[in-house]
Amino acid sequence: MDFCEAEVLVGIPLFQNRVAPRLDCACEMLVLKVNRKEVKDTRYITLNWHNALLTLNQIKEMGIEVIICGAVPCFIARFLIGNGIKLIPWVSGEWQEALEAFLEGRLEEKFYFFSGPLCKTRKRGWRKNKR
Amino acid sequence: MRILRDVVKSTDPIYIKTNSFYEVILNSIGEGVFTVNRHWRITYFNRAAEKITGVPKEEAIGRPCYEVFNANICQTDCALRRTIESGKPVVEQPVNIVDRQGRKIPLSISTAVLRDEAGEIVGGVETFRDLSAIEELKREITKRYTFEDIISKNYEIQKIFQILPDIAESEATVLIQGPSGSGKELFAKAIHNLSPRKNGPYIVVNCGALPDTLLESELFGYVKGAFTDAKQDKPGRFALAQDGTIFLDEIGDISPAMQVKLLRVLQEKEFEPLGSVRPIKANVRVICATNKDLSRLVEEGKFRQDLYYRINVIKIELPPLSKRREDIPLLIDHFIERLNTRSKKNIIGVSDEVLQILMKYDFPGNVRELENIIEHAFILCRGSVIQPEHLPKEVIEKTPRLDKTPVGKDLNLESLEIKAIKTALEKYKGHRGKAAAELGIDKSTLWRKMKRYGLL
Repeated sequence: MDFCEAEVLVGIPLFQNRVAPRLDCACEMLVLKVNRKEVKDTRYITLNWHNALLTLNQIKEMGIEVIICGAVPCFIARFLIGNGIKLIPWVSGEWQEALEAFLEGRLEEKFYFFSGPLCKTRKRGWRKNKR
Repeated sequence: MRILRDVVKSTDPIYIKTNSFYEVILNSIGEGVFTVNRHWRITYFNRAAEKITGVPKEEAIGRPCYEVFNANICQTDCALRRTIESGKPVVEQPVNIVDRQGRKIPLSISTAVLRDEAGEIVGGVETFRDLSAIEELKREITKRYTFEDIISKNYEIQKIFQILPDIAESEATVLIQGPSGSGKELFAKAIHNLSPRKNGPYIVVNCGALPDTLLESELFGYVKGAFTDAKQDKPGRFALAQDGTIFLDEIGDISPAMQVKLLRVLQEKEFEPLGSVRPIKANVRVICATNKDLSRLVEEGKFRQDLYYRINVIKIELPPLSKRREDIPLLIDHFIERLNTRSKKNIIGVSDEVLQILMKYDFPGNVRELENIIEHAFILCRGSVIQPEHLPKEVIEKTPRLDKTPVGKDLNLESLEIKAIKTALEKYKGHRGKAAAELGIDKSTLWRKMKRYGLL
């Protein structure tokens, strides 16, 4: 499934105007309805990590299919991926930049699934290229 | 502080020489050190900081500290910000960061301000120590594990995670059924920790380990004079668990007489200590666990039906490790990581052959047995990779002979992938999401592969 072509709910945890450096500490998430590379709708949701499982279940129940985020602990990554949510971790920078890169497929190119034993990740390349 | 300020600011050759001298010193210490300017951009990052965070210096310099450090306090209660705003240092504050492998690393941080010659604040410095080894030992002693310590990407376990918060929120009695060593106590602890009773006590009783008479006095306590040696009152585990949770392990092993007494506690929410006639109210959440099939025990008349229904309000069934083989590599890595922290060894992992052996082994003792096998191998391993000769003999003997390398058509990656996809799809009756989760790939990747191999 091409996530940029079909209608998809994308979640970006925020810190100020940037992708939150850590998903499990972000207080707010921007949820964007994206269709054919265009943002159709946006809304903000509050995240309460006091009960992480509850929050993760809420994210899942909302139908969010892609999460673009910064650092993410293994447990949370495994939960999200295990529930069919596409996780694009270790992204940093302003959220508009990150979304743009995602819509243009530049995040996809570098995407590395958390499928290894210790959910090994690597740094996104697009951010560095920008600087 | 002046040294660091110089490292940050000066381009003067004399300063550079001095700085390289100080840089050697800063790079030789075990504590991580980084400095930031007033815009929270990293201006200095020492070698220990690279090692602890896993971020190379070249990548860290110039970036916002919160995007490099990834500490739990960065977004809500930044210690450096507090220090720079108030001028007051922070000393030894415990935090945790997430490293490149997604592991949470406990640290102790200290912060201070950096000033120029005029006394103006130009930034801040943060030093930090890795507390992994200390925390690991603490956890080992206190057994303070959380649901985040349950390591699994297995679909069945992930499904349990989905319902765990609701289970925890309720007051219902929970029955956790699963073979020995499958992690029943970890789940019981997770339920307690997620429940409104999390600040209350969590009491564990292994019902199978005590004879009937002892178990009764253990659970309900006794009053002075109840029997010859009862010189004073002794509260039972139910009393100790007041406003908290009691975990009754091996519930399937208790005698019919004890079953009646337990039923009364669950029904009436009160109990009487041995020798007392005054009932005590029990405000206790009960979680039971067993490795036996209780419904079968009920059919055989060995377990009371009414008690079974009382404790089986919510049932969690944990699969044996042999049914969640996809977790074996995760667990191996986890145990090696833990042992490395404890012993200061630096074992990278297991060889392909060892992994193949363990993937084929049946693990009658489940996760606990895997943990013991890894510990055994870890002790014997002198190199950096665990080899088959480090494994316990019985594991090798009991493992079905390893497959020889497939020959001809079966050797290519494509046919192996097709086989794996077909098996996963068959297992989950064509459910792609579940099959993808089992295979450890994304739904869209599975779809793409199915399309490529004509499996749609």
